[in-house]
Amino acid sequence: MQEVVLAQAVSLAPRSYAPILVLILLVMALVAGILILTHVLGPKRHGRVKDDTYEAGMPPVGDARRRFKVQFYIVAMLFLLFDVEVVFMWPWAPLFHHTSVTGQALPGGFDKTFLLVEMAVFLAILLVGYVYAWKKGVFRWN
Amino acid sequence: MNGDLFTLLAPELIVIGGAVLALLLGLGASPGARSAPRALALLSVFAAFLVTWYYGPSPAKPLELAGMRFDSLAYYIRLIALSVGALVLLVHWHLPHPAERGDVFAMILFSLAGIMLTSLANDLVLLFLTIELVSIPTYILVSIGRSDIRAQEAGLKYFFLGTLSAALLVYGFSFLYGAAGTTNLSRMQLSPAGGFVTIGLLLAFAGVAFKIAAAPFHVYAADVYQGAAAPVTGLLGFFPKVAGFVALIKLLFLMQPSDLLTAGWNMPGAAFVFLWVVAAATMTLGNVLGLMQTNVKRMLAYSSIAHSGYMLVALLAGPVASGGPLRDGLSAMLFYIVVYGIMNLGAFAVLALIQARGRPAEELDDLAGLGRREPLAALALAICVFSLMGLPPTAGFFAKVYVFSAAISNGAAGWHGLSLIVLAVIGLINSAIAAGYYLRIVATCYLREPVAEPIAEPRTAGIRLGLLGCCIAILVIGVWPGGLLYMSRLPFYDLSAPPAVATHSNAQSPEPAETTEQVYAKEMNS
Repeated sequence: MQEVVLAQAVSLAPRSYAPILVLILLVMALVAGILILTHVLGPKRHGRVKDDTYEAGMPPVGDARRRFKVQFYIVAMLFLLFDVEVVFMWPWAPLFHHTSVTGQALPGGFDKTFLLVEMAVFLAILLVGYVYAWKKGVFRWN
Repeated sequence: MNGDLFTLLAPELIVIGGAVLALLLGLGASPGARSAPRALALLSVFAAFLVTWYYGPSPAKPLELAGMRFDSLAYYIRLIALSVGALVLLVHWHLPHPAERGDVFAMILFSLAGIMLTSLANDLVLLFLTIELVSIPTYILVSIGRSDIRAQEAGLKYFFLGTLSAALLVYGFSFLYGAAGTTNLSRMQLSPAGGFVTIGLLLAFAGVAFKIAAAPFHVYAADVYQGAAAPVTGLLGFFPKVAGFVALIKLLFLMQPSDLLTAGWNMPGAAFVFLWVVAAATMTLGNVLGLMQTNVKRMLAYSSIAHSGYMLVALLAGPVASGGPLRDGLSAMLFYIVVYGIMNLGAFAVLALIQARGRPAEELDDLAGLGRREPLAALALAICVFSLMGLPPTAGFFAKVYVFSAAISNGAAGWHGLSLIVLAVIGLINSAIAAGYYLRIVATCYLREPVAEPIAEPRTAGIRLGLLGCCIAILVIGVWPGGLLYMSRLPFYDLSAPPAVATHSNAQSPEPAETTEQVYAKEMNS
């Protein structure tokens, strides 16, 4: 019984590796396309700063202990936070859909209420991180 | 709805809830909100302790649920982490700037919750995540609120080397997963071990060796311990070490045939040799380099390395079912780690309390004449240092007795048994070497004329209370080790017991198995 439920729940997963191969090819084509297009279409200006190593806007060579603005990095980290959040919600969604449509619990007795509360706890913890960053003044840019 | 998981995880949820609230309250503008995090942190640790105590050790069959295993090892680790955690909170009481109280106490609680979850982890992925949950807050604690260049060096070194060790650990785990085909620790059958298992284990051991500051991954310890504030250093001697040793226990049990607990570990020869060399090198390097230091924090950092070596000796001796507690290396290690955590924290609490030349005491000269200027602080330091040395009637004495008797009387067949005896001899020689620098600390306090006029910082009731707690614990365990020893023997019995799976359809076994206590009582009577 439990195994049947699990099998139904994971039936959304692909059965062979063919889609992954297609995905790899698509990604490679996309990257190649973007690189070629920027090379062909993009304007080219040369200069000491323009030809320097790209280091997200800060001088790439110098004393490691000099001061620099960290705001950009913190915003990037916050982006990662919410990016990863969606990665976690993605597998959760089909399982929740399954339990709420069929009314069956997953192995271990995890029913839809549990799944909902679990996701609420997860989102609440993420929200705390967001509030913390906000109150610490991460979004104040002046 | 399955409420089991939330109920079973109540201690961790309380600690994490306390951390989240502390973090948010620390952001408040009013002084009242800013002073709340410390009390809140202590309160949540007490509440979590009471809930864990109320649940008691696991029933006869450990419960497995959602990648976690609720057994007596988890019970023991949760209790010791919360007890020592309360002392850690007290020692940190006056450290942070009011604006950073929320952050500091939240990080301590997150790390504490990480230890508790490490003890529960029954899945490679969860084990990795929980070890990182212990480590990442410690990177922040090392450098938060400190602007001097030493602290920045310490924070940066600790972070980058910690990330490297995490990479080694997860790389090793990937080999173990490849060999076993599952990440669930209970379902991994790695015995007999092949090449992939050996590679995976060695990489994972290397990753863990960093967490416990074992040679050759110990090089960061002295700089990090010196750069961090003294209370944080006390924490570093316990939190990452517990997580690392729990992970080692869980990895070693992967190769244990389910019914056999009679002759130590059943690990590949290469893994045994690796751990043997690491243990011997850790003890020797730690103590010899400790002799050369004039900075007390660096001295205690090398002592911390050496003590990891002693614990590795006990761990390598492994669980032995017959012959009582003096032969069981596993319980000796679990006993030692608590005692070490407390005595190390106590020593650093004294350093945090004493001011010399207007800054926290650090050099040996700073402590000169402490016996006359601050007799109580000097006494507390002497108790902690004597315990680190292993003198009776302190807890450190029994901790060392259990470790070395387990290694000597292990009785493993062939070269394993003999090499364990050699290791015990190396450990005993090292204990004598260590006395060299431990005695220098005590002698400086009592025999030398004051150089820097050490004084105890006023209005520091929190540190004083934490220090008192450490000293009382050291003396009580030193006089009556039976209580802690009983607790540290509990995990031994059900680590290899087949688990109960928490499903609704699962029928209960016809005859209830003996509970852990019944087994223990039987052994004590025989």
